[in-house]
Amino acid sequence: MNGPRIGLEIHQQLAAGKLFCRCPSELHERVRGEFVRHLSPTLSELGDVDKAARLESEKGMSFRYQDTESSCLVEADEEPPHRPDEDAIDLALTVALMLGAEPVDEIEFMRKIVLDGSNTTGFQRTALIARGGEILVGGERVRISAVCLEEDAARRVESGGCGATFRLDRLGIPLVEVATEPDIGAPDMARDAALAIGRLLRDTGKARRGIGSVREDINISVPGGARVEIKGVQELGMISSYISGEIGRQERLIGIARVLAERVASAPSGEAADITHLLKGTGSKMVSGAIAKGGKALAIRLPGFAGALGIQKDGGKGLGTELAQRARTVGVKGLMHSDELPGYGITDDEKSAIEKELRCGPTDAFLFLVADGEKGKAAIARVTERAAEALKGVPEETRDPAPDGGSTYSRPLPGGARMYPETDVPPILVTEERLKRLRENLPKSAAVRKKELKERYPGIDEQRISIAVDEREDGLIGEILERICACGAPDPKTASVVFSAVLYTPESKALSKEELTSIFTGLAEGSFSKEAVPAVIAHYAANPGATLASALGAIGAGSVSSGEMEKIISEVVAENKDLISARGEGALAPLMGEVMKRLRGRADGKLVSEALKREMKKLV
Amino acid sequence: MAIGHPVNMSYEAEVLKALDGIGARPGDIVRMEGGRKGAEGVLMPRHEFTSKDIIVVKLKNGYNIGLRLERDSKLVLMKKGIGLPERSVPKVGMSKELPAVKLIGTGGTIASYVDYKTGAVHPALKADELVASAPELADICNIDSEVLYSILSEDMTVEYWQNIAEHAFEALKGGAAGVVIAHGTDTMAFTAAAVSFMLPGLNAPVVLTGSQRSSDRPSSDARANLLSAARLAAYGDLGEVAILMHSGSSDDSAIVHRGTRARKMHSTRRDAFRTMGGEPIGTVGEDGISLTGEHRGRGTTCPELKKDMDDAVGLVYAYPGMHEKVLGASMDGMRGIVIAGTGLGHLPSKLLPSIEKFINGGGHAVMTTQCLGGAVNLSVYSNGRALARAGVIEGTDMLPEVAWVKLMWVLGQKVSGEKVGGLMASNLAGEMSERRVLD
Repeated sequence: MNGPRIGLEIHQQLAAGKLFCRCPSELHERVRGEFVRHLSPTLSELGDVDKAARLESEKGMSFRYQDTESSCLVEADEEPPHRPDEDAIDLALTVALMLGAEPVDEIEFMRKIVLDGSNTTGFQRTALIARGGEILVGGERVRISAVCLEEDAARRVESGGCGATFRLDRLGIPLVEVATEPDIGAPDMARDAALAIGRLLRDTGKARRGIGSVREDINISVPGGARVEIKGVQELGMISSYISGEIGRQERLIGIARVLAERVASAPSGEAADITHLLKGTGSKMVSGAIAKGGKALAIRLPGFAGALGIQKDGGKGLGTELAQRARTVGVKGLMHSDELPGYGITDDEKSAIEKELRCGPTDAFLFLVADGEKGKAAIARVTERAAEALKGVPEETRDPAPDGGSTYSRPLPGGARMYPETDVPPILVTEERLKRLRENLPKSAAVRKKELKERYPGIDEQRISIAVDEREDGLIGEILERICACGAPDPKTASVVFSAVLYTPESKALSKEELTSIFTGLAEGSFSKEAVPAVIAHYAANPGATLASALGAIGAGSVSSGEMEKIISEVVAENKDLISARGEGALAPLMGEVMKRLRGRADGKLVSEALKREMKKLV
Repeated sequence: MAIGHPVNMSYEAEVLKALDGIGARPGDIVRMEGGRKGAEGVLMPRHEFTSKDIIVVKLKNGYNIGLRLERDSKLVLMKKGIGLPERSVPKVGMSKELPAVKLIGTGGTIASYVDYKTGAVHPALKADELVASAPELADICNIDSEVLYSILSEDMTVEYWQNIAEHAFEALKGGAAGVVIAHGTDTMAFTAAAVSFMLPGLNAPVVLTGSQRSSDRPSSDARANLLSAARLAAYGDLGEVAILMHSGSSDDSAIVHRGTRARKMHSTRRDAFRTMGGEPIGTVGEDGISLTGEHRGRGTTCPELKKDMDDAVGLVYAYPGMHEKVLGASMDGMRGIVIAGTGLGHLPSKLLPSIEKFINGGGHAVMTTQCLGGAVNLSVYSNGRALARAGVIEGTDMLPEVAWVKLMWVLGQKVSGEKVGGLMASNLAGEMSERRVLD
């Protein structure tokens, strides 16, 4: 392939119990208690390698965990995992079958080492459920590499200094992960592929909804670049921007590497120079402030890097940003480099003095940062490492998505070596009977379900059914429609109105048949408007045994006199003269909302709208 | 051992035959061909619960999957494994300036590591591995470590206890400031009690510690416990055998229990241990050692080593309808029996004749209470008085298992029969108390 290669990993929370305990998969705001833990790299993981990792762990990162009603000893890592939730396994296998993937014969749960504190155990439990399969995106094949079932991590509620606080409610919620091969060639195609996979997952009827219930990891490499993973994208709409941004970044880095090679640039060598004395009287508040606090200014020369650090020809960010992000990993907030100087309060004279001190030639660049001794040295080491990588082009890494569509450095890409068997969870044989049962009950696609519902309930407005299928669970829709039919729904229009009202009123589940029927009759007889239906439902739910009359009385419904309606309308119009003169007819919608609010649903929307229009015209 | 089982390397029957046929061993790269289920990866050892006809391979992406060996599956050995490389254990340098502490390894999950290739969990077999699991030990004290055993603590016997006590004794005689014993948590309290009785006149801390989450996990409590235990052994003003484990779910504070008063009261939690019938000795936390409970301080005289024990002692738990056979079998051929009686120290009345017979035959019977809190009193109810008349010794508020260890030790001291009761009723190592107070 000549273009970029893009692969996706879609993580979807499942509406099943927690994967390894019998806690509910629900988030909570009430915290029952807290405890503090440390995580250490284990003996074998360290082996003879990675002094840096050991140094990190010796820094003593401590993590605070909040216990909630959705967590037990398993989430607290105080009890071994229970048998995996059977519904979650069925769901993961179902997703695999829907994608045409081949399930494994025996599921083996693994521990994937994660030391950022988001898992109390220090690892995430995950299993590969199936391999292969494909989806079609705009007629093009995207191969599926794996379908996995894993536990969600704890929810980060606070970060700072040398630790973080996590809430245990989210930990252990089952996630199905669908990973594609890097068959995607363009940003928009990636978005479409994510949409297609998301739709398929929702077709199971068991995909959790809401913020954070779907997360995407995007793997991107351009020719001559390297695999970079942007991890944890939550907004589908942003996928294209992240990918375009990353393609641009990789291409820019390749361009920079080419220039560096022509100049025979080299990695910075030797120790950083202490240039604190050169900046003693500087006008840069940031620098002088940090020095006043006891910080030292450390500088290094970047041989042949002039021009590579600042903004590049395409308007994108140069290496300076990359270097600064590495410094941040050890807690140094920022650095300054020669491409952006003079500036930020650093004068030309100061720049020259530093250049002289570092013996910079015309194609050399330099950078400096201000931090206390050890931290500064650690930051310089990271920056040096990153500068060396720039000579080769694009380093493999994991990046965090930024709200502006860009991304920032997070950590190196983890390898497969971080996985080892979860011996506390026995392997699960995938029986032929189980697959047969699941194959026979594969969920229907949304399109099929819409068609079926429309055929079965011809009286209900088609558009309302479509929206309902896209937004709500199938079971709920079917149940409500059944109940509406069972009440002998009057005219289709009333039935449609009640359908929507019931569907979007949380209390509606508690409605008895009599109560539902009374709503129909009341509406048909015009004793209240359709806008009042949710309030009536809520009243029924809160007051068992209530009659329609008492409900209408309590919520102040019942038809309003036309005089009162006119009065409210003229009040609202008078209060919003400016809005009307500015927006003309465009003001109708907001004013309509206000009027209906004051009427508390006691009048028919259509009548109100006509009256309001008349009143507004008077003004114009 | 609390959690984590070693993984069985061995395949069985047909699968084994097929693997043998191509000469494949765990660690080798194999390829299974046949339909869409084909896969290439590292052959993994099987889990105890892996189904018989399943082969487990580790794919390139790190995941293990189980594939069924079917008649038409074709297995190919792609590459002999690189073998399991010898783990290099970083040598931790010790400072002679710091107090000397002897670290004795006996097994359990405190010092185990995982082989990432196979997933097998191995116990630390070398002294260096013990220290390497918490290199910060070198900042606390001058550690001399020795792995005596690598066993699960449920497999401990009297002989192991004797060997442990002897090593602790030798270390203290040799000038160590204290001793740390890394031990499986299941029977840690038994060993602590045994060593308590075997080292009368103890002059320094002998600290048993372990972990409830094995040390092959990043979240293991092993490291924090080991470091706190070393701190206590090196600097604590304590002349007793103690158990040190987490005081709560957090990693930042450990609690010190008297060796003859501690009990594992939870199967999985980090703070599983409790001091029964009294206050814990103290805590070891980030802000230092704080020994606020009653305790014996360090001494200048050398302890004695009295390690003889008579293991012909049984321990039974009383329950309603208890069958004579159960009690009889527990006393048959034994020289002592400890009963964890109900309430104040009772046993179904029908078992009285068996007890009488045992005592009349020269056996020693000690009554304790399964309530675990409070003391035995054989004077309150007629059943108790009958047991007392028969010659049953009141174990006051000793924990049943501590009384059991103590009776073995007392019988091991070869005292005359009539002195046994007196010794059992004396407080030798803080195992009993004369007063019980409101909390």
